[in-house]
Amino acid sequence: MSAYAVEVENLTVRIRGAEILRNVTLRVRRNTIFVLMGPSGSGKSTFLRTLNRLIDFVDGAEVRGTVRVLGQDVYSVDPYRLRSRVVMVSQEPNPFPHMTIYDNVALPAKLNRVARSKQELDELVRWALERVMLWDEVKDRLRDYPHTLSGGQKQRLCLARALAAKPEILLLDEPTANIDPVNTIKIEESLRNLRDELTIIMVTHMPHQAARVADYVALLYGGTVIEEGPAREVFMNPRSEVTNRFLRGAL
Amino acid sequence: MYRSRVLKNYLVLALVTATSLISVAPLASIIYTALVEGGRVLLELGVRFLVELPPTPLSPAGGIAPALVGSLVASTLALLIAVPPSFALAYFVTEFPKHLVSKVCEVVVRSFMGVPSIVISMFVYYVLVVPMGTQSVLAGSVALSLVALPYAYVYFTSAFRSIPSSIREAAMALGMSRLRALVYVYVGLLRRPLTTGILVTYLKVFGDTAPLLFTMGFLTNTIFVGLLQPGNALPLLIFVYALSPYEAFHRVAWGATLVLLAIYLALFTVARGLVRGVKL
Repeated sequence: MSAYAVEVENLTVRIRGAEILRNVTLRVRRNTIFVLMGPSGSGKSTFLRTLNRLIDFVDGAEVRGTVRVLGQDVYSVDPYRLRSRVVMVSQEPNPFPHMTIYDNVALPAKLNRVARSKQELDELVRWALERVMLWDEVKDRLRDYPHTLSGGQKQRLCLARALAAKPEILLLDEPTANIDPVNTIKIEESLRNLRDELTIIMVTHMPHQAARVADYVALLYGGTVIEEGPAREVFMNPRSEVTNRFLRGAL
Repeated sequence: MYRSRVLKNYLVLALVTATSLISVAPLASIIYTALVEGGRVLLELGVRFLVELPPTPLSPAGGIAPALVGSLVASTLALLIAVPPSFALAYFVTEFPKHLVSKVCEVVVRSFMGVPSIVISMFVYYVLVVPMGTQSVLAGSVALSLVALPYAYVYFTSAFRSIPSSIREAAMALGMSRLRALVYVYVGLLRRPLTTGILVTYLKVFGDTAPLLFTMGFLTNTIFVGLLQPGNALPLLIFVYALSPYEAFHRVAWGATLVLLAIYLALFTVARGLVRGVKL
């Protein structure tokens, strides 16, 4: 088994002719938190969407290069099976509004056959909600609907829903972009606690957030990887002037 | 300056109110007349009006049982025939809008909406009634289903198009196939517009007369014989009896009109009350 959860080589993505990613080569170690940083429009979300093939739904998208996830080329496997192992949480909290808090978390577990009995399912729902520090806040209202939650709680619910699918890789597309600092801290703490169980690939435009959670980082700018490496190294001694400017907030 | 704006405001308000009243007046008049004329019949006969056979021309009173049962059976069967394909087609078209099949379906089905229902009745007469040798409830249902299909399709496509892209992405990002997303997420999310679509389609076919003219037959001597035998329907009964010269038939037609209106209102109200929308 490869030490890398994700291996991307010479990835170029064009959308309706516009080059969004150019010759990106990156590797992500298993059971680490890898943060892809970069200003808005640098191609971070597009990169995430090539890993789980959500890019397939983007009109006019052309993908070139090799993307290997969990040892397999993403274009040689069933995309639905791929997405059940490589689950993504979006920037905008998007719980299923017609399902209760419990059902939101239980659904992917049921679909992925992670739980075999009602008791196992209950335990899994509790485990997932505990991992995102939401259990204490919702344990008495699991039958309520998500519209009763705050934005930050909804985003943690989405994270719990993703965890309940028992993925091997978790993709996070700026998961704290629209939520308050308290919920942001809770999500970051949850992520740090999860790194032993799965590989996390997160996208952010906030360098200080990357500094708080990342084991490894890469800076994407204009569709190209500018710099990558262990987070401490990149933050303490950036090799590129572009990285330096990004970290100082001047990009 | 201010006074002239106030005056203009009053003038426009008066115009809008007047035009609204003019457009509502015919409908109000129909409901009022149906209530007065039909109410008289229903008060006189009570439940007997719903369960008895229609009168003979010279008998004092009779009911609408064959038409009521025929309408319920034919409309339900039409819905069963029309809803599954229109649902599947609408989902396919909204999921793969650029597919050639979608583009063709979109044009064909929507233009089908404009086909006069009497033409549909003629078509079903030639392809079903003539080979079978008799008008029947089944032929009526098929004709109604051809009317229902584009209506249901339009409602379903607009429902599927209303799914927020964030919810679609959430379903896909969890590894759901399009079918699973439909079954586990979209149907629940869209329960209100989908139910409303089914209901409005049902009401459309329940009250439509023209598709039944050459297909359904006109059964009056018994309540129901079978799907492959002639039947009756409320709008058909109203149409035929209203044109007849007999007073007893006119009274039944008014009573049936009120029943038809009551069924419309009841179904609509019940469905709106039962199916709650989803708070986003």
